[in-house]
Amino acid sequence: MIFSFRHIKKILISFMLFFSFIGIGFSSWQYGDNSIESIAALPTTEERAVCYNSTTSVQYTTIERALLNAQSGQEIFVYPGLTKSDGTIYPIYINDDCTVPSGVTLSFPYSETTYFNKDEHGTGSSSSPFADQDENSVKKYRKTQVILGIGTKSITLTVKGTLNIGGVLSNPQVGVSGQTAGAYCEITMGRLSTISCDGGTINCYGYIKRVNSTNGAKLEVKNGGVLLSPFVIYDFKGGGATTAINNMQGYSKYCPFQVFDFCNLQTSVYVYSGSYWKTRACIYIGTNKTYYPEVETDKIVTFIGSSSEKTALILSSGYILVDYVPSKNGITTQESSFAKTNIELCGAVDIGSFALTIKVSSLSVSINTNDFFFPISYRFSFSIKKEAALNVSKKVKLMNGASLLIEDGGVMNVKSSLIIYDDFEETTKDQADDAYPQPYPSGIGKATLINNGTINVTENGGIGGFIDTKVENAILNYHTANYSIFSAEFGGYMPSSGSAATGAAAASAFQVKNPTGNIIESGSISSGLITYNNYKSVKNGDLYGWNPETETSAITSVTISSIGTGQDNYNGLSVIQVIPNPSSVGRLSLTWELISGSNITISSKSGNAAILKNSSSSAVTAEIKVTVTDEYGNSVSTSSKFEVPKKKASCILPTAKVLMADGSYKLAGDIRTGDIVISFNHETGKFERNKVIGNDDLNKSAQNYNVIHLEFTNGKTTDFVDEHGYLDTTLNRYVYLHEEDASDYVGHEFAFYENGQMTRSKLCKVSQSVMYTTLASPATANHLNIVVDDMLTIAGGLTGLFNIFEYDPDTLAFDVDKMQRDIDTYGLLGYEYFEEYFPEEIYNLLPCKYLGVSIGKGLITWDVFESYVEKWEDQLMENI
Amino acid sequence: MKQRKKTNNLNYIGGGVLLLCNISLVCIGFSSWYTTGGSTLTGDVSVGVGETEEFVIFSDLAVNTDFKLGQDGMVKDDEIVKTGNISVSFSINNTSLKTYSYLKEDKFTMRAILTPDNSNFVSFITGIASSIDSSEIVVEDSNTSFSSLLTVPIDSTQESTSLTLTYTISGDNISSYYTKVPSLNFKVEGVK
Repeated sequence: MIFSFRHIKKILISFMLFFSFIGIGFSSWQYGDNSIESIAALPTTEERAVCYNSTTSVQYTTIERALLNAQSGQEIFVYPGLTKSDGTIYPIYINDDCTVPSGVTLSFPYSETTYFNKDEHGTGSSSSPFADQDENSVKKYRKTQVILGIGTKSITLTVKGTLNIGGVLSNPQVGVSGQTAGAYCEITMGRLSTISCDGGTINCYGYIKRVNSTNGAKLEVKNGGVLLSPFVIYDFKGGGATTAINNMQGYSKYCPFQVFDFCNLQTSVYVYSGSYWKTRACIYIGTNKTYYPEVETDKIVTFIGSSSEKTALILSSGYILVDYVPSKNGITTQESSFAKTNIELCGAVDIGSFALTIKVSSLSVSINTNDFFFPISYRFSFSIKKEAALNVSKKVKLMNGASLLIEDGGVMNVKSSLIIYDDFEETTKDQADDAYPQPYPSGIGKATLINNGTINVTENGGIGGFIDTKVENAILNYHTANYSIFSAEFGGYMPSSGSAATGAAAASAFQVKNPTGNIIESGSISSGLITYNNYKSVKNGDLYGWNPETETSAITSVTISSIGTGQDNYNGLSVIQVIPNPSSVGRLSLTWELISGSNITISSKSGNAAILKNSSSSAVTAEIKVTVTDEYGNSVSTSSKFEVPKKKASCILPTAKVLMADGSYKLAGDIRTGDIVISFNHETGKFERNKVIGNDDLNKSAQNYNVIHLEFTNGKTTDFVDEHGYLDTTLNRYVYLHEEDASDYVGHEFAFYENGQMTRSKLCKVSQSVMYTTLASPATANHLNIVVDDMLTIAGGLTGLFNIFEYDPDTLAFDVDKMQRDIDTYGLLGYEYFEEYFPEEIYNLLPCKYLGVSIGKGLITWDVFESYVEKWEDQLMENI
Repeated sequence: MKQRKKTNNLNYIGGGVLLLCNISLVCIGFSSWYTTGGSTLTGDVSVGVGETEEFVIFSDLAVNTDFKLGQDGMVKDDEIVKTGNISVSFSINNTSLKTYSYLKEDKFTMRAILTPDNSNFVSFITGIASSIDSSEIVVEDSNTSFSSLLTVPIDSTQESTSLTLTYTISGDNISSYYTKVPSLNFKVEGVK
């Protein structure tokens, strides 16, 4: 067929028009010549209602906004018990400075709108009665956690109105009184965060806790501010004993409790002149288990205040810093050796009194520390700062383990009697049983009074006990008139007869040194009046008592204990620590010795701890001896036995198939450090090449093991021994499966690798068999996980090094926002934190930088991490 | 390419035919991209598109909300609110209205349809307002979408008219009524 140019032109134009119209038509159909459309997903946020205004009923996703909108007379309630899908508590963050305005109440109730109920108490019996005594209890009882400030941003919550932090107080089944013993709420204070009680009121029945003791968080109670917290008594003798004390004739009364503190405020509390720190007693005294009706005003005991009425520390100028330091951040326990309240007096302070009257039915008992020596127990450490003055206007006893330091420029005016305990054993009158509910602890060292400033003893004042100093120019101004110490430390429990005590079981020795440092007087305080007639050796302005050879901070005893339970003592390792008495002793050296225990080795660690390593396949009881030498050359030793658990296998079979970087498979038993395999990077949400940093248990000889066999709905199978980790996409975290709990995961979906992508399949069957085999347990750099039998797995025995951040359930990458929030809260750790353990190359192979987050979230402790290093050290060094 | 179309060479012409066919096909493809994604077009396909633009009455469609959907309902400035707004902005090509006879007595009628992919959400759409004060709005009943007939005055001396429609969303804890975050399809079309 031949076309002329004319024909061709027609054809061309026809084609052009035809296709042009098709183009327009399609466009019009899709675009609409008279229409336009769009599809958009509604924007979402993970925010949820965390509080509401009870007057307006408006809900808010932040406390800051709720406070900003609140008017005088209104109350903001934070919802208690907000939990995430995994059952953990939903933390509420305050990330901006905010104020509880005057007339406005911000309440953190533990249940609906209840932040305190005097008739509601904790239940159950426990040797450690605090609702936050361990991590599990915290999970159970902490209903609300408000985190104040994240990262480096310092946040201030100012309270001009009222702040209520809810909690259930006391438990009649335990010996401690007034403590938070049930559901509670908590403010967790981030770095440099501040709660400023500026003319407002803070009622804290739950806790205010800083993340750690060095983060600079503080609570200020300024002029006009009122702080109210529980008055926690550890050894209240009961109503019977208290009644008997009141009825004593011819003998001095003694305080029916010795040990107390105010442990609900676990941060630096600055109480300024003109403000008050009041405490609420909640004491069980009746046989009908009726609690002290704490709502009566005289049941409130003022700890610090400007008034002399029933105030323990009367502050007329300056401020007092009270700093409770728990044995472990976030945990409150009854143990005597750990938690300490440091009180710095930075102004003019008088010691006043506690006074309260208890009336239950026909029983009425009074407690007034004016009637006896005001007890300061081992839980307190006082210091009088420069230009500060303490007037001891009431009788005070500084009991064993307590300390009082007068710093250079500080002054203590003793206008009454002050006893510095040397030794004290609390017993019952008839020695038949221990003092109820528990005796004052023994072996915790002497009380110490160190005067580096000035002590003025007035005409009516007197000091019984050993006064020490660390400087050459400390001053004791002593009145030349007689002075006396009036003491009656029965310390006993009155039996059912209810008659007055007739004898003293306690003994307290005291010493006073002359200017040359010699002890010039000593004795035992038993009962009655002890008088020093016209003692004039120490005069106004004389130097006294500086004699380094007789420093009293020498070590007196030492104890060893296991640190925690569970993961601390795990997989062939047990972490133990030594506690010297007094704890402030200047220690020169510490040696560990294995007395008995086959297959046990001891590794000394930094600080006071050591790791016991069990290389056998069964638990071993090891006897350990420790010797501590103090700075004066005094040595004390003690020994104790510990059970070191067997070393778990935590492995897979050597025949398991490990996915290599080139897509091939290699038997797990053939995997070596440096091999390049496939692992999952949760930071990117992708599978990627990664280096093997070790393959544990390769050197173990073959033996019979219980092998757990897992079958999945996709037809895949795998095996493990004792413990191995898998990514459970149903729970959205790695889980360790064990022989005893693997079947609990039937029906859960787990992560698999398939052609470079993550797939999921359900565990449908678990079985086990005995197999004679060797083992393997490879791990990769940073991510630690590795693809074995096409499953994403993680070696056993690494708890706390993974699951540090939450995973996005779709991509299984870290949830970026939550991850950043965690990092802001807990920070990243640089190599400087690890340089004592390993070279920087190893730091770069492990998720060390996130360890602070893991520790902060309670997933791991430094001690456990050190035990990991111990376990993996040899293999890790192969990477260098 | 235009020079190629002008050549007398048969081979060139045949090639040009094929090329234009390809361009037209590309134009179809790009048209669909253009409507949904707003992607740019090349000069080669501007012939078809240039004519297409004359048919466009609406442009510059944007959908915004003053709230986010949180776990407990609508969130606005950290507050759980019972009322939120979805605003839809677009421009009307006044010239096209005249050319294609949509303008009657200087008024233009259009139908705006807001269709959630989850019909449960429709009940939370409780009202509509126009940024042009003298608009007439008639809400039409529908169980699956929120449809409105709008009549707005048009200043024909201007090339275009900007209009924002604001839908009111009302309800307590609306997130409890669906399991998946709703997507909204918004469509507006001219009515003669």
